Amino acid sequence: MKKKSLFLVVCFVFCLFSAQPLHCCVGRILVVAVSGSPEQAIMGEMLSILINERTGTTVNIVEYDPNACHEAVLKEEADIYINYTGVAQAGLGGANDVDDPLEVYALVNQSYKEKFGMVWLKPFGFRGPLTVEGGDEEDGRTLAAPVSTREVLKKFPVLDRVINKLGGRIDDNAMSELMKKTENQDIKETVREFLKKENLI
Amino acid sequence: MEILNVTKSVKHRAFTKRMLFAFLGMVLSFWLAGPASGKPMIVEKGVIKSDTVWEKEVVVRGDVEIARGSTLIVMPGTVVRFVRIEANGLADIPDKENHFPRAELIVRGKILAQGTRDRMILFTSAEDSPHPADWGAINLLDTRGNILEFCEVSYANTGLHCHGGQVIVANCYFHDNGVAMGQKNVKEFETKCVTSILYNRITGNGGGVLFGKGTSPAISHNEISNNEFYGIFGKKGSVANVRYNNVVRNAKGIMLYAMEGFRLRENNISDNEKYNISLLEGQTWDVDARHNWWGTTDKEKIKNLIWDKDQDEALGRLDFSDFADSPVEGAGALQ
Repeated sequence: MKKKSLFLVVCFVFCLFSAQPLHCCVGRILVVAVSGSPEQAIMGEMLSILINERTGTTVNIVEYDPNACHEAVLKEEADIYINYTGVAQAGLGGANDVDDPLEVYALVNQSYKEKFGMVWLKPFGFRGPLTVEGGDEEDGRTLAAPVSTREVLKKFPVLDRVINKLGGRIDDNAMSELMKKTENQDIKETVREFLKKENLI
Repeated sequence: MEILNVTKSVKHRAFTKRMLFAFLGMVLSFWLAGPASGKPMIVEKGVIKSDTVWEKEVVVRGDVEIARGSTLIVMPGTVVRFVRIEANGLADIPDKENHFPRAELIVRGKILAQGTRDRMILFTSAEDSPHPADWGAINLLDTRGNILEFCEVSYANTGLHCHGGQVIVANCYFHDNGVAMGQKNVKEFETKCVTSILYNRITGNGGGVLFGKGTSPAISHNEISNNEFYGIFGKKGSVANVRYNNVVRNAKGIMLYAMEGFRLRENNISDNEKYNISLLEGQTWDVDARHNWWGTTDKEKIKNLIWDKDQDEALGRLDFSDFADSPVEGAGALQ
């Protein structure tokens, strides 16, 4: 029975996925782009489960190189990714003299809107790396937040509201607890437990 | 001479008679050895432009369209198998909004597929090891007067898909499809979806019944169970009348998004894994769900399997008051 269930789930997702290029009404698919870090894996699952449970939309998680997530969303291969204010600030090539994390957040949000048509949603709460170069991450005070495009948010009208429910809920402690749990427990199960505990699903 | 002539004549008549019997025998044997016992009828990708009857065994090897003005009659006991073609390989259709990657039966004319309780019509995959989405759908586009009765539909992407179609679906069995039935109205089609979904078994699919955008299905006396994601999913702009169904043992029984008109009465809605009813983000209207059986008379237990305003202030409230104190009699499909 369990095997059959798993099979059906896989096939259901597959059939929706295969329907994607044709935009049939059965269901739209959202793609979350993640890089290989443990935080990204956890937050990818977190977005996927929350969006699916609260909107009924099927979500696929696709792994990219750390520097390729932004490009994937820009090219419309993916719909959402997780970025860090420090990384974005460095990429924009300036304003390093601004120390206040919220001010940096406001600055990169504004720049991304103007330059890429992208929107930074509410920061999750935990600290991310300051820079990402060739996969090497340097720690610092920088906010992790989901980023999407205006087009995607227009196409999925309640998406920003759903994702913003994660805003400020996952601080450094919560993230390290989640990471610790995933060492011995399935990541989906861990994330689902967290969302249940937070009364989000 | 006369005798000889008579003898010749008798011999000739006997020969003719034997030939006639042989010919009739041949015709009979061809008739008996037709699709039911041997070769199925092969239908290649194309358009059916006149009234057509399908019977016995039919194999569909690409997108087949029933043109406007034509009717496809499918006889009781017919088995229609769809070959799993390469995704988009043969689907050379520019109108992508309304189609699927694999083979589908596109109905712009009319389909009358009326089996009987003992001789159901089967629409399924031609694969030896079939999977959901091996074929696209019975796809109703801007069409009226369709009937699917006593049909079994399996291994499709969406068993019955409807963009602006009017159809009665009764006493059918949908299983192992990505979604059993999906429908919405689209701007370019004049016909609005009007579907009556009655006395069906919709079980073991990815999703059960999905409807949105101005549709108004009547969903009554169905067994909607064991679907991996949801039993019923109502979306924005649709109005539905849902009565006398068993909605049980799905991941979520009923999901609603931005629906203003949703009548949910006299159903048995219980034992769904996550929630019996989940109001999704954007379902800000209240929902009248009185007079249903929820598997218990314990109000707290009922509440625990409902997601509404109590969990999220932005959502509408689900009114489950005046709930039945025992299972609703007569709900579900006829056995």
